Amino acid sequence: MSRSLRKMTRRQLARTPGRFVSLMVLVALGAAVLAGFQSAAPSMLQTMSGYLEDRNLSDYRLFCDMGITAADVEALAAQPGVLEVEPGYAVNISARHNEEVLVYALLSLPDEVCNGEAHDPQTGISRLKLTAGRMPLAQGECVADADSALVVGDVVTFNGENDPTSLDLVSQTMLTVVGKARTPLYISNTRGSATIGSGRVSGFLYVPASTFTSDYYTVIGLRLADTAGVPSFSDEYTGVIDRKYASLEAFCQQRAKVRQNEMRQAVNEQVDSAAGEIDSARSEADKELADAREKLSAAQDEIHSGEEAYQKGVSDLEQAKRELDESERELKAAKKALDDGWATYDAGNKQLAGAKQALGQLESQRDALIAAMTGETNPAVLAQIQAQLEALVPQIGGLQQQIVASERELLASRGQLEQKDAEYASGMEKYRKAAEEIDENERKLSSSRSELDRSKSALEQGESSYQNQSEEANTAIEALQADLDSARKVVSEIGPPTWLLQARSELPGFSDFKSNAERITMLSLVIPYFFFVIAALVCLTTMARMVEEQRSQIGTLKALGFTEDAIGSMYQFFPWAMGLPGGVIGVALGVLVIPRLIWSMYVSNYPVNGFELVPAVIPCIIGLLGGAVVIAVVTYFACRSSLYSSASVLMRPGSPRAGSRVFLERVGIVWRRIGFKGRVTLRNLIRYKKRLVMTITGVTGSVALLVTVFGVLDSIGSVAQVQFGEIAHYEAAFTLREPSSSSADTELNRRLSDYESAYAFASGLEASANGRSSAGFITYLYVVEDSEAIKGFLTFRERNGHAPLEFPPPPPPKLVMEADGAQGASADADIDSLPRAVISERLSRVLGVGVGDVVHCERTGQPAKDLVVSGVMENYLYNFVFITPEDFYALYGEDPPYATVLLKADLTDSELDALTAELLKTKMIALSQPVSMLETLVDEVTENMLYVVWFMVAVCCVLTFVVLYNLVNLNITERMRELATLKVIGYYQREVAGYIYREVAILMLIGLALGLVGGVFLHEFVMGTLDMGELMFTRVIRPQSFMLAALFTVLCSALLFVAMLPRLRRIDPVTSLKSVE
Amino acid sequence: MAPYIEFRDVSKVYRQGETKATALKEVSLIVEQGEFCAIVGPSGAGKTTILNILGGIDRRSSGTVTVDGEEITRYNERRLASYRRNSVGFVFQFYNLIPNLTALENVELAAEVCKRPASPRAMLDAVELSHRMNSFPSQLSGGEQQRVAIARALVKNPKLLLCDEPTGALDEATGIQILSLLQKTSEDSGMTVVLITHNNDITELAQKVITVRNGQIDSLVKNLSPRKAEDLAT
Repeated sequence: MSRSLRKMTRRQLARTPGRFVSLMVLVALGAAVLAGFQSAAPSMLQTMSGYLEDRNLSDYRLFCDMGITAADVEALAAQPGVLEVEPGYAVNISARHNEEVLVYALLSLPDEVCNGEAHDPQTGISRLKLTAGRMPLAQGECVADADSALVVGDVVTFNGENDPTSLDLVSQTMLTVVGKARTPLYISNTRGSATIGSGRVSGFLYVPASTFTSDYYTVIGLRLADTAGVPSFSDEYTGVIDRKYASLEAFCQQRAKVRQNEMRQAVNEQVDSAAGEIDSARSEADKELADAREKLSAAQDEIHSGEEAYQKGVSDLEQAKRELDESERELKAAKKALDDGWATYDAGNKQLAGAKQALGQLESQRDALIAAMTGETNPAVLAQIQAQLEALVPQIGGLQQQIVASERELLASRGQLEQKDAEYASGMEKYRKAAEEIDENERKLSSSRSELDRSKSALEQGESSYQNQSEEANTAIEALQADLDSARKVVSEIGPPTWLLQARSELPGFSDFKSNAERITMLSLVIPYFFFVIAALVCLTTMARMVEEQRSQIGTLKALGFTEDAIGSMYQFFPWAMGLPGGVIGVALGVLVIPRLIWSMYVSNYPVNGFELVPAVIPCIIGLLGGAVVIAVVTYFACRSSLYSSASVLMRPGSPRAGSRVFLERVGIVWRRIGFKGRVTLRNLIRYKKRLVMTITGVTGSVALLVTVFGVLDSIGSVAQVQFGEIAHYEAAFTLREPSSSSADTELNRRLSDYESAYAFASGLEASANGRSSAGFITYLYVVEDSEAIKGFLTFRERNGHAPLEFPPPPPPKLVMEADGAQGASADADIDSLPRAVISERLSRVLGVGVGDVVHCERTGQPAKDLVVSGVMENYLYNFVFITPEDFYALYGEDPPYATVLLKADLTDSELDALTAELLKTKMIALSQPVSMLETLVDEVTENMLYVVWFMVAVCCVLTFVVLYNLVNLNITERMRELATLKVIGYYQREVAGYIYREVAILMLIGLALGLVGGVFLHEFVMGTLDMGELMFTRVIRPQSFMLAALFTVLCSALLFVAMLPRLRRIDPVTSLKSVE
Repeated sequence: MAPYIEFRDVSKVYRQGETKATALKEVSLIVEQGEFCAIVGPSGAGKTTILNILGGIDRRSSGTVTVDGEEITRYNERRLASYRRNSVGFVFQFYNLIPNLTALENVELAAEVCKRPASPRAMLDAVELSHRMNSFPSQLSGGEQQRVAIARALVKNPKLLLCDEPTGALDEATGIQILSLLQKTSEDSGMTVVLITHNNDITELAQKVITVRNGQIDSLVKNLSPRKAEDLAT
């Protein structure tokens, strides 16, 4: 380019900087958005990787349900490719702080980092990053989750909701927060689920490992040698991790076997020693029994001899008694004889006394007679008396004799009697003594009897207790034996422990982080190219205007002998001079600012130091050159016709662009009604078609983008609400401890009887069709026990128009095949015989199938089955294939093992938490997935997108602004004379502005209207790119979003109008007097 | 009675960086109501500056300008615009029609904003262009365009018609036609007309001829027997 051409170019630039700058801005924006957003995802991933590398996040975490032994740890450390292992503990604990009860993940810190210092630990795996306070120093201290509400100095107390076995693991029941930190294990707000309390982990607490008292570790953190320095989200990393997976799994199986053997051995030893104990117990019992037996028989012998002695005593006694009786009888006889003797004696005595009396009487008679004689003189009488005396005297004599004899006799008999009395008395004495002796013996005997009896009963007792004892001993031994047997059985049944491998991608929030980063990229994919198109249009109008302005100049140059190429190169200078710096500035700013901005917003609470920028190479190159190339091409076409006109034509002043009639003018009635201003505006609108196209395209695009980005927020934000307000109507899904083949009378059912509940079966599934597969996305084969009740829990409908879908799927329509060949009919018949399923929309998109298509479904460990799609259902989370229990039975030959309980209850969050805690505590359920967890996920996505959205809004506003600026700018410069004339005529500022702005406003409004419509389609397209994995977003755009898009566009225009007012004000009416150039 | 237009010690200094260029130096002049007044003088003498200041499209540096008793030099932008729209009609050398509007629409452009407009159609009729009123400026000859411009100036019923070399771009015959139109208007409606011209013949039409030289009034001559424009052709 010659010097003069250069000079002209420079002046041109200086004279109309606005149009060039706006061009540059558009190119720069396009380049910035392209390079910046495309670099954002790799940079975010790289930075996060760097952070994780710095914090030495474990590549794998290994869990074992029976605990991990030191030997396991050693064996793992010795595995090839293992760089570092760190055993530790992890358990979920329910704890109270003030009135708040939350579930925390209680994790252990290696003792060497528990130094109480206030800086981040530099050793260990998955190192903490302190945000406040210090590391714990002693048991009872903890570092709390930086995201939790706990502050340094708070105390948390484990409460009663805990599993006792968990509490047994720790020595403390209270922990004092001494610091707050972040852990690379949780990179998002998600903390995972728990089997206690509310079922949600709300945060983590790190304690020194010594706080745990268990002999077994519960987790090992593992770093691999091959992943050192490999970015975490890279394919290389995934490759290394995947390759290592098999060997780690083999290791786990091997360790499981070892552990199983160890445990069997340990239990066997116990069993054996138990068996020995039983034997010794048995022999001891036997011995004791034998002793007892011996004692018993001795006692028996004793009793026996005692009995004999007793018997002898008894017989002796009886003999003695008999003798005594004899002597008694004798004594009695003697007594009787004695008594008789005495009676005789007494009778003799009495006789004697009688005799004596008679004698006395006789004597007295005699005396009386004698006396009578003495005084008697009557001899007769005397004689009589004599006679009588005489009769009396013999009598008296006889009697006297008799008496003497009797007295003698009596005396003798008395002596005899008295002797006999003495004899009797001594006999009696003897008898008494004998009787006493007998009594004595009797007593002795009876006491020996009772003694014997006692001995006997003691013996009997001894006997029965011996019986008991031996029975007891036997049953005890038998029980032991049974225990032993069952222990032996248990040993044989001891299974291997279950090991669990958790790679980084399975940590909470990891895959979401990657998806979100990718979403940001996807969202920015369409915009930059759009900018380039707008830049091209703006460039086209600008260059066309410039070439027109410089017609005569081009003509003059040509006349002076400059070649077309030389002149053309002058015009080509502008696109390159604007496009390249624009590209450079754009790429530079975009790459330097945008990823960092997104990152800083994305992780605003995240203490990741530094930021690693990873420019996306291809977008950067496109950004650098794309804009320049596009506008250079456009410029070439804009200049071509002018360049190749002959100099003479060009030298003549170009006829001013003729006014032209507007179509409406031909409709007189309408035209007249429009009013003067309207007519003028319409004419001006139609005057420059390129500008019209540029403006409308630009505004349409930017409005469409605005609608899209706001709509993106709406769609993401409404997922939870639509999914759980309109599609799924249950509040929680509980996982049962044991699958149940039916919902019949269970404890859980009784507990939930106040609410509606349904049993469901969800099985992981890999669905495929058309060579595409759902692998990698969470996909469920879903069966609800009651195919009718399911409608209370899930709404089966199509997304567009909300047309209800039939479930259970209706039988296939009976098609009448007449014209079709037999072949088609038979193929259809095959399909008709297949079970029919309703699938979720995301799955249908992933697989590219619709109603009537066949889907191959493969459950883990089951043969693949074919299903026919009977309906595509609106659903946003996870992929589902819904079939009836009957079809399930038909497919798999068993009833579905229902393991999920859907709960529909009108409960507040806290009530639901309480119910969940109760069910978890009473072991009725194993896990709860409250609906709010999805809301958290969605919130996170929304939050991340929010920043991008606002950035996009800003970008769109700039786009609108630049496009409208360009139009206004062109219109003003081009119509300078017109505007000056208007001013001369006396148009007020407002009216002059209106003259220019009215048509801009109309174009803007047309663009706005088109953009609002176009936005719906662009939104649909963009949402399609944001759906990832098992999450689909709604296609909802709220009216507010349309209003916001319109508002922002109108605001931008208004801002521009205000900004351009000084420019209009500066137009000097005197300009109108100047001659036409 | 105060004069209709009075310039009193009006100066205009253009400042361009360090250098000052004096366009007018303490100009004082008077134009009576209904007068047909011509301003003549060599290029760069300051004719246009006087006209611009009078028309309210330029501002003096010092001095006062009074029109119909109003001191327009004290007006702000808006009052000036208002003054222009209601009191002044301008006719330019290069017509300054809006190319995208038809003849009629160009007239309407002015009628649209003023208080007491005449009918645009009638106005075009008056300038004998009713048959071309739907033509665009590019479809009209120079004289026709200037007549549209005059119609646009007159449609406002201005008190003051300012013309800056209205015949400068026209051939002589057409020029006379235009001048005749202006003179007739002035006579018929008693409108004050101030006209800049290089053409000495035209001065013969004026009732007052002001000669400007080097930014100062060189002479101010009253022509007691102005000629008729139609007579100039001979």
